[in-house]
Parts: sequence; C-alpha cells; structure tokens
Amino acid sequence: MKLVKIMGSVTSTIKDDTLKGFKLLMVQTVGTDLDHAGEYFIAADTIGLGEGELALIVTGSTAKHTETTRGKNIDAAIVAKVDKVNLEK
Amino acid sequence: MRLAKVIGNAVSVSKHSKLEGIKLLVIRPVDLLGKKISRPLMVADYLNTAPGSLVFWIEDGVTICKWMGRKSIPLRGSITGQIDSIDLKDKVIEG
Repeated sequence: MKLVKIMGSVTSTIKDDTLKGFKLLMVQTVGTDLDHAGEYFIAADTIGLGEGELALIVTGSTAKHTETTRGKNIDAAIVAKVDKVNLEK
Repeated sequence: MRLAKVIGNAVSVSKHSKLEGIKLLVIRPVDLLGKKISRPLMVADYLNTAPGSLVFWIEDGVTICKWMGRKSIPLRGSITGQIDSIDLKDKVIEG
C-alpha cells in the first residue's frame, strides 16, 4: 500500500465502460513527514474522499480486491482514509 | 492508473499474430505540470484516442486481453480514459 495525499478529482467522459460510476481522484505519494511528494496516480475511490485528505491506495492487480473494483479495469484503488500516523522517534 | 500525453502512434506490419488489430499509441508519462517524468512508452488504445490528448492508462496486460477477447496477448499497458479536466486545489488542468 502507498500513503498518498489527494490532490484533486479527474473528469473523463470517454473511458473504459468498467470505469463508469467510479470517482477518479488524482493522488500523490507522500513520505512519513506527509510532505515529501512523489509519484502521481489516478485512483478509483471506494470510500468517498476529497481534496487534501490522506489515504492509502493499493496498486496493481490487488486494486481489484475490493467489492466495487472486482473485475474492473483498475490498477489503483483508494482503500482507506488515514487519520493519524504514529512513528517512534 | 497513470497520467500521460499521447505523442504519436506506431505502425507495425510484421508482428506477433495476437497483436493483430490492436492500435498502438506512443505516450509520454507526465506530471501535473505537464513535465515529462519518464521515457515514452507504447500502449494499446481501444478508445480511438486522438494525438495530443491527455489520458490515463493502466499498466497491465489483462485489460486488452478482455477487450480483444483473446488470451495471453504479449502487450502491457492500455489507455483506459481520456481526461476532460483535473480539478486541483488552486487550478484546473484541461485535457
């Protein structure tokens, strides 16, 4: 899983039929300082999140392992909202 | 899925039989500023995407196999959507 920050939403009219009905969000991976920005992904939202929130995404074939994404042409899915990250010093 | 810009297409006469009938496009992975982030790639396109479009693509081989109704196509990556717009906190990127 990857820790990401939600950057915004993606609008697409012409897309694969199996993606219809999904909210697609633009996310960017972040480090544990929650600031260090990395790779971008366009992920299918399975829980209902918005811009600025922290989340966990799964990528690859694992993204098809939720009830809503099963059998869909999706390789990145948001599966959790992150409220807090605790680290040992 | 990943963000990319379509920069061209590819024509191939001699190819693996399972690649017959599949349109191949050359895409360049980009970031939100439109800056290229890696080398261009070749992916399948079944949405009739126009050159210059901003798209998202899936990095797998299953999607094109399902679309073509064939098993074991030696191809990885398919365009799965054309982007109309990306709404960010302080700006909107048009596709």
